[in-house]
Amino acid sequence: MIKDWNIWTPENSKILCRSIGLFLLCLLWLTGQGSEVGIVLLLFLIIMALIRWRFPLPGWVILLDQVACMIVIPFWPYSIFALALALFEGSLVGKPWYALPAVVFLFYSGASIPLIATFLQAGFTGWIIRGWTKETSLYRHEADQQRRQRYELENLKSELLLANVQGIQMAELAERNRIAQELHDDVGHEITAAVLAFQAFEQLWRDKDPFAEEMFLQAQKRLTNSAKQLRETVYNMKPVQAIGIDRLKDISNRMDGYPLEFSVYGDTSSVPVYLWSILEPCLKEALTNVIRHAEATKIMINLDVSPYIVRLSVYNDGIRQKEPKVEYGVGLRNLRQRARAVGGNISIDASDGFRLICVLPLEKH
Amino acid sequence: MTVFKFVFKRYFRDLPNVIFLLLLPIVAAFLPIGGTPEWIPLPLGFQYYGIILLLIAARLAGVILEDRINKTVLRIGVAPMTHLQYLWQNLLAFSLILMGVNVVVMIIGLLVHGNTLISPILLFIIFSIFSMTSIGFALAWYSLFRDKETAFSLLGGVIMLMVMLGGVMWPIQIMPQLLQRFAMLLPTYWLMEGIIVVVRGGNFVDLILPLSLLLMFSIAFIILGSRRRL
Repeated sequence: MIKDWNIWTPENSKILCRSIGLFLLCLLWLTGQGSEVGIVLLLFLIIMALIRWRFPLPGWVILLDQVACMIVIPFWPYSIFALALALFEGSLVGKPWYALPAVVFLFYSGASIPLIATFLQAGFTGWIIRGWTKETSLYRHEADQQRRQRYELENLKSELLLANVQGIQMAELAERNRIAQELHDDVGHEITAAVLAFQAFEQLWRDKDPFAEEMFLQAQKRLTNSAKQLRETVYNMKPVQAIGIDRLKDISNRMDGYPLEFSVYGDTSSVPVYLWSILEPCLKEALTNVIRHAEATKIMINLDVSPYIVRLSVYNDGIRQKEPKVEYGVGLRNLRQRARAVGGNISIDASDGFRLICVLPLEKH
Repeated sequence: MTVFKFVFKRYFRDLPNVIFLLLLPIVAAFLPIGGTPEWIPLPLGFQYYGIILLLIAARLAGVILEDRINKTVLRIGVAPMTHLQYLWQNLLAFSLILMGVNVVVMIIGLLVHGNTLISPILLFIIFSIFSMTSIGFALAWYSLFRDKETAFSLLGGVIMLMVMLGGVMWPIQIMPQLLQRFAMLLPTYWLMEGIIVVVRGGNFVDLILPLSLLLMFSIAFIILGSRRRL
């Protein structure tokens, strides 16, 4: 959409200045007594202005304009005013020395005050429009650059979030692999050896062999060993900090002084770790907001786990004190992006109290 | 040269176009000397031939406006063809058509009026260059508009105004001083100036100023109209 101020670009101002200059020259010719040669000059200048409008011209072309003007001066003395246009073009392209012949000619031919004023005005206008053009292009360039950097950062962020999810999944796989390996390498071998020892013991015991007792002790020792190793493996697996649903309950228990209802539906064990890592800050953010903004008398936390999605809903009946308009703050925006990185979404609703809902998809294994 | 060929195909496919293109000039060529022979002792058709040229050029260049409205220019824009090619092929076709009309009219004029056309060759040169100016003018005019009806109806008025101010209908000397000078900024004035020079027995050298001004007008108009508007 073209806005009002969009019309006033440096480009349009150039066209406007040239048109005004040429129009004034035409008026000068109309009211004066110049010969028909004046029209040739006017047409020539109009053509040059049109060419400048359509194509970028090198600076020295200004010299041509001046030569044309000087040729016509004997036939139409007022065409000396046309030299001001050359000065305008010269300062517009930032090469005012190309208009030097015009200035020299001006003083050589005995300049009048109106003539000098016209020249100064033309040069000054050209110089200002030049500055305007440069500044506009500079700011536009800067804005473009910043926009590009912002896009890059956003890309990087979403890639990092994706890498985070993948990293967690990889860690899970690696851990599973380690457990399997340990069970196989240590516990498995010991149990197999114990089974073999028991089979040997059974044979020896039937034959009443004196070695039977020794074999039995050996098998028992192996079983004890493997039981110990099994226990160690399991202890290695168990994290020190609570995770999953326990962690969420931990967080909500810290909200002393608020009447809080926490209800869980569904099988929370099917929620993978990387989803907990989103649900947890989500709950934290929602509760922090309650403490910070709302005077809540009731907080309801619902966690629904269905076969396909996890839905966490945090509701409080408090009134938002300031700003009736709901906006996503930095924390919520980041969370939202993290939720999107795993294919979910976070939405808020402030029509009645305040409700934050986080929906995340469960991957089918 | 596809665009060039299609100008002819499109233009001559339409019967009213052909009638407009040929009937008007040919009828004009048969008109007798009339009105003010002491001012311009030429057959009426040749005195007013400038108007006919302007009108035909307006009709011809309407092709470009139609292209823009029908989004043909947009489609050509994605084809491997520059706007310059599109433009010069169109302009070449238009000017060839107008040249053809000029030749036909001149031949008819020679056959019908004989020696009353003082110098058919010089007249032909003037009219040919004025054809370019008319095409350029129509092109520049259409580049200002997006709506066909508005452009056409306004153009008719502007052409009549230019013709009247330029002294095609009556001698320019009967108009006020300021209007006389203003008329010099119009291409039609220079057409009549050229015709008057021929009528008064001038040779090609006397024609250089009017002809070069007409040429400059054409260049200015064509540059103005050459901008691609989608």
